[in-house]
Amino acid sequence: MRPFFSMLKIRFINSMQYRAAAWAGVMTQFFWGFMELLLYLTLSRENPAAFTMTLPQLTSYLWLRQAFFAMFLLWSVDNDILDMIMNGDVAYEVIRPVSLYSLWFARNLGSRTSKVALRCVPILLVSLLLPKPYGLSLPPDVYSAVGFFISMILGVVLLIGMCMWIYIMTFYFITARGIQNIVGTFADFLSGSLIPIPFMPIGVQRVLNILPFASTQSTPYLIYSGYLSGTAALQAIGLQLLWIVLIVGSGILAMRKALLRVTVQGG
Amino acid sequence: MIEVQSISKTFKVFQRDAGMMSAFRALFHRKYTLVHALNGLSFTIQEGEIVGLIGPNGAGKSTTVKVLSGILVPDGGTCVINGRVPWKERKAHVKEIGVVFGQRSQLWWDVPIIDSFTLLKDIYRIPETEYQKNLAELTETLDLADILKTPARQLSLGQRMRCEIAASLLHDPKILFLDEPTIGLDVVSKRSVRDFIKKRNEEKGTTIILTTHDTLDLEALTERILLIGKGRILLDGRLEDLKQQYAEGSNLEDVVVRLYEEYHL
Repeated sequence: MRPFFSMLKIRFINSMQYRAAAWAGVMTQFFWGFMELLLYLTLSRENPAAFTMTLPQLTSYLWLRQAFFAMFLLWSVDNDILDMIMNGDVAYEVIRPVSLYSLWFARNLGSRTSKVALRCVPILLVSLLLPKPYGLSLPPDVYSAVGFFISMILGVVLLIGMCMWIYIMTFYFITARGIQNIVGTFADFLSGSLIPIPFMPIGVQRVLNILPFASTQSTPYLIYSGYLSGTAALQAIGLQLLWIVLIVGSGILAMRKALLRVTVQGG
Repeated sequence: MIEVQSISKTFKVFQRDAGMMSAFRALFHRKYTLVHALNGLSFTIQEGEIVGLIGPNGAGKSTTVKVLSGILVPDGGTCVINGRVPWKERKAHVKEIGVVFGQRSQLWWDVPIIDSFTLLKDIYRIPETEYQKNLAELTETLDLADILKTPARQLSLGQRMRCEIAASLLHDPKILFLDEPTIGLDVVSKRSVRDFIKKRNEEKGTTIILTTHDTLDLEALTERILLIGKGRILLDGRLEDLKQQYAEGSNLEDVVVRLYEEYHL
């Protein structure tokens, strides 16, 4: 585990320097949060019947999403890794006595946590201080809080597992921009970050709830607000675990295979 | 000991004609040619040797280094280094080798050099006392004391290359691969890099495999030379013998030019 944590640390230190970007991120996230808030408030006034969540559940969902935005942005992959694959510096990564999968996993976790660490505190603080029902409410009970915590960790692991697949594909396609664009657009919709999944037609909800994307951020946020509780919450966490086994497991195998046929670009 | 027996490696190189039409056609059907980067390459290197790999651009020198360091898997042939096949026991193998690619960087761009070193210490699981000892030694011999706290992006190429070399030696490898370590360096930096390599070999008995286009590197460092061309070993000999055979004077560059001409490279 020492190489893993050390990589996590250096990636964290490396991105902590981008303070201006972090402040700009905070501003953007607030802006988006308020825009979405206005939008859904209008909807709740015009057509309360269409409102499938309670207003505090929804506002909590929106603010959590803004606070942890950088953590779950699937297409925002570690560009250093893509560059390494594209220009051949990956050679230096392959001569290390550790598994490349765990090394890059740690690297991703490091860059994502550092982005979130700088951004989430002001957003969480301000949204907690906003008057009800506009702000972030506390979880209804201790089970929701614990469930959220566990589900959040699983969601992050799953998301990075997906992200690793983008790198694996880059070994075959040389450039990742196409994959990033396609995956990014679909993932935004499928993970419920564009529209929360409870607002979608019932049939669509059924499909989205099974797909892995909902297991990344939608599940923990819905558990937090108590929208998912009891058996439903446990089932959702079980599904997260299943997807982690499938996606991380297949990723480890595929990475091993990709390395056997690796070509080092640029001589 | 390094034993390489008739390894071969073929790359697909994609090609298309200039222009819009052929770009469009390539969407459906890509043409490629096969390039035989290594074509039955064999040699043996003993422990403690310094060997220079020479040959023109595209001869297969870098590919050879990448196969020996376990990065590339050859299509055929065998390669055993200290009893291991590099690409089969990759992790155990890479623990005992160090590699410097002169045209690439392993240092983290935005953080002080020492942070990159600490990461390597953890990745190679170097015990603290051993790490401190190696670091102190490398800091002194490569004159790094003033630059360890500087981020890589603010170093000159010569300073950075000294750090790159130190980074590859922190875990005290038995074999060191240097792929064009002096490329782009000024005369003084080149000399200090050469002196260091020589000393490392003499004092620690590190086996050194060096690729270079700089004949002064060869002159200063190597006794044995492997000439690689068209993916094969064309010549394996003592530097002294070559000099006597190919040039009356002592200008090694003339020797190399004559060698390339003789083998139609």
